[in-house]
Amino acid sequence: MFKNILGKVLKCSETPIPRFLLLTDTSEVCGRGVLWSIMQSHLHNNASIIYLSTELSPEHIKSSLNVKESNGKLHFHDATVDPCGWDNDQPNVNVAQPLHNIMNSSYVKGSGGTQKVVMVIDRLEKIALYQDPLQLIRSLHILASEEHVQQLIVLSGRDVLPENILSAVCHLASAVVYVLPTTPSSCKVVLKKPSGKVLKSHEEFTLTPDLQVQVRKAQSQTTSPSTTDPETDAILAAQTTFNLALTDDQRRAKNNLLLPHTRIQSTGGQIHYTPDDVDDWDDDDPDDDLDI
Amino acid sequence: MSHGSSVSSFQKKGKAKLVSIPGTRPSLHNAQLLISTGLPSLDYLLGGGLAVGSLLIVEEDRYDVYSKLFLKYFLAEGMMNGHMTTLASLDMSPQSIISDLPSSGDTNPDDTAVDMTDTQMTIAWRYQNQKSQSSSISSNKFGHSYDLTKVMNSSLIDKVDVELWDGKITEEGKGMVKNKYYWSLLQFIKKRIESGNLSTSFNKAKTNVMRIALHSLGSPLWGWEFSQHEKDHQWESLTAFIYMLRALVRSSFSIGMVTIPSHLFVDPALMSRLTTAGDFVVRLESFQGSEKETNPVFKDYHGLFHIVKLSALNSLVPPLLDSTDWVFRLKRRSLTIERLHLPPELSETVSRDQEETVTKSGPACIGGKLPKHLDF
Repeated sequence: MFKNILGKVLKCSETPIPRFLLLTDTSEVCGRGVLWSIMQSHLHNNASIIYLSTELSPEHIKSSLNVKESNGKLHFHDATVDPCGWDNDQPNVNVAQPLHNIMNSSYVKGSGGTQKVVMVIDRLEKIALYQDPLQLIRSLHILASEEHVQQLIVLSGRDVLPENILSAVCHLASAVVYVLPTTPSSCKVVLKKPSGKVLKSHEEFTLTPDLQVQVRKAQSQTTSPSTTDPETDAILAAQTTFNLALTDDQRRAKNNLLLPHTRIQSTGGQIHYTPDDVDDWDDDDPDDDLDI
Repeated sequence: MSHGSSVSSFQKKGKAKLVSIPGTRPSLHNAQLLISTGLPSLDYLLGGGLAVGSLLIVEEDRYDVYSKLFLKYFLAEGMMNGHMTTLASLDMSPQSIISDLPSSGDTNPDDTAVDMTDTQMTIAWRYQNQKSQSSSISSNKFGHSYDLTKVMNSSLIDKVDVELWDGKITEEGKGMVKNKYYWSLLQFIKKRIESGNLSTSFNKAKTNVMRIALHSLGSPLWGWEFSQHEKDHQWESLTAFIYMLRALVRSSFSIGMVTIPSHLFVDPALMSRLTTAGDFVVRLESFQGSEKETNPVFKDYHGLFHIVKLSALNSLVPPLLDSTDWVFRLKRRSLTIERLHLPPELSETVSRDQEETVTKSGPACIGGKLPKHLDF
């Protein structure tokens, strides 16, 4: 049963929208394409996005996303240049600060009121280098549960984060996407719905240059070994000293045979009993309870 | 045939103790005061119910689906009996937990009129004259049946003394409990016990018990417990907290139920320390997403229920159970814990290892998949 969970998550049509989406990739496959695909969907829905970038410069991202086409707003926090403030006392972003302070600073500056924003953190492991893990996890939880945040999307590598931090972030997230280095590219999705149900699926996808994604069901890797093949059946039949196969004539004759019990059922049975000489045949009813 | 208060005429020997606290009853084994956890099958495993003054630790399943249900049953039972309740959670808002409790199917006995014009009993006609059960039990019912598809009415919850703790107000940790969340929660519970006059050193007769429900203690938001190693003695806060919580609960008329996401702990030593600190410890292992989901033995069930520890409170021996394998199953309306019955071994499915060593007949090009019953 193909659930297309990935498609719904990517097109932001999953209701209710998962508050905290974690995209994990490995060093063998990059998940940034999937991230930008989700961002495209958000931009088409006129959401404003606050993007914290640690690897690619904002100009590069803007040109890859073709931002001019959509109406949504895209605000960047550039943590690629001088993140710790070693060269300049007032860097663009100081990654040693608590994460929710960094992300919320641009929100306050921007439009106030109840407009919802989508927050994107590109490369969690780069932020984790500068911050205390406990503080980082608390910041993520605070960000995901704030009212003005529609969705928090975090891109992270599975093999570069310490396992305990990764498992803690997976525990906090409402939806986790594991991008796998298979060909064609596939991913495993775990979606925790607020009703308590947990959906898991393994789906293949292709990413087009304009960041549209087509999703289909993945072929399962392990097929259960079949117990008999037609070839071995033929060989086995040759081994035995009897023949179990029926020719057509024989099958027809078998089906037409009327079995004794069915014959009786259709015609009605009669019991013929001849009493022996030692039998004491008495026609009376000793209990007086037969009502024939 | 007695016209007594129950259908069964069995009476426990000895003077009848007047139980004045609603929702509690003395244990059949040792007259310990017990309360219901809300799940009758769990009550059975704990020896009739959860003893007042004990601490139950539930190790959560992977996605915290079923352990949350256990907590909800515990809270719902408290609501039905009017017990004081304290609920604490950092992972999700306690308000969202308390507003989603299963409603009980048992109606209030004062509301229903006993229908005396019942149909004539034709088979059990000797019981026709006996009074029906509901009239004199009144409000002291031990355990209710719950329907998960319906939500408990908030008016029922408003009548009960409930306090929620969500970690917004904290004070700095002291002594062994350096973590501010654990320390603040401990102070909060202590104040609640004092205000409810539930401490055993307080000499007046108790009229109520308090249920303390702590959700997802030890999750990443509380502290660094999930870390690889015991960094800077940070485990000390959680282990000391559980120990002090048990002491608080023992010295007052309260019952603690704590759910812990032990699957996040990298070092199993932490969970074994917490196991020694708790009274009853159970672990839920759900089949969601694991390879056991497709195992035909577990087809009808949703997870394994492991009983890690049962303690002997005021007795020499903990409750003895005849089976060691338990499973839980979530039906649409209820959650039950059952014995795991392995299917009977039939001769065709049992693989007899000694037959495998007999020389295999047939051409060598076939693999080992030849059935064994080829020759007669």
